[in-house]
Amino acid sequence: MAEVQLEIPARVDYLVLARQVVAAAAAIEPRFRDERIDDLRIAVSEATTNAIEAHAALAGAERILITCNLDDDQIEVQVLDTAGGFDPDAVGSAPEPTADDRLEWERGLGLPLMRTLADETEVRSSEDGTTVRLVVYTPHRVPRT
Amino acid sequence: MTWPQSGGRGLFVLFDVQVYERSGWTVIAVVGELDLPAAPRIRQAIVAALGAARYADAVPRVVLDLGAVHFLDSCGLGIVLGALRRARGAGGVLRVVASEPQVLDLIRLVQLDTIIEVLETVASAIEAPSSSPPAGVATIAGRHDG
Repeated sequence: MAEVQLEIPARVDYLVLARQVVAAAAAIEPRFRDERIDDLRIAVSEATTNAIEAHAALAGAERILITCNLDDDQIEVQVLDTAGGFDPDAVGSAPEPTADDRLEWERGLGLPLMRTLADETEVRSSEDGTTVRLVVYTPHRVPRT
Repeated sequence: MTWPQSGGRGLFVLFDVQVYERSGWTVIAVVGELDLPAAPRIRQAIVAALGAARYADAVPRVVLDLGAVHFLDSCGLGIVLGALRRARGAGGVLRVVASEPQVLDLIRLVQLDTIIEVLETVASAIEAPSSSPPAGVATIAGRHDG
């Protein structure tokens, strides 16, 4: 297993760096197709964006820790912030497709996108902060028992 | 890889925005990555384009050209949705140009193409006949292709 850690200031201008480092780490594993690396880049972008915005809401100057673990059959990314946490179940969902107010929702797709694009998504949040765990499997992974 | 700096937000900001007029349409051309850092400038460009049309007492006609955007996330999708809402609120028309696979894949995944006209080039966006806008936009289709 290889591990890559990146600690960034909770600022928007470090968002690109976060996802590029994770994408570069994933590209070490030749079995990952480009499409899966794109999926992971988007999911990491969503998690890191949420962390940056959470810190911004507190007007804090904290840092975000991103850990990337490369295993034989998966890549696991954890995005950890210390911005006070939130209740993932309380996050509103965007209205249904044909709803009149759908266009009023410019936000709300981040968590659903993570859950769609990653093979595993876990959000752990407390008053101390939030950790988002994202896992993307390598092709032909043998299911774990 | 080039690293455009005109986003003006710091070292790792990879986008640029150009606005020009073509055949009566305002084209807002975005280059690079459409995400949280890019949002303020693009929203500003859209608001300015709609305001200019109102000042000229013209129907706003805007092409949001994402043909040179190679990364899009939910913030970028939100920008597109907001642009469409503002354009329709002003009685105008907004069309999107997209061609990069990652961008097209995400647009299709959230079924944004069911509510907005997505075309391959600026020329085709400008020349496309007027049509009723698609009825709605879906949330997210399931996808786990391993």
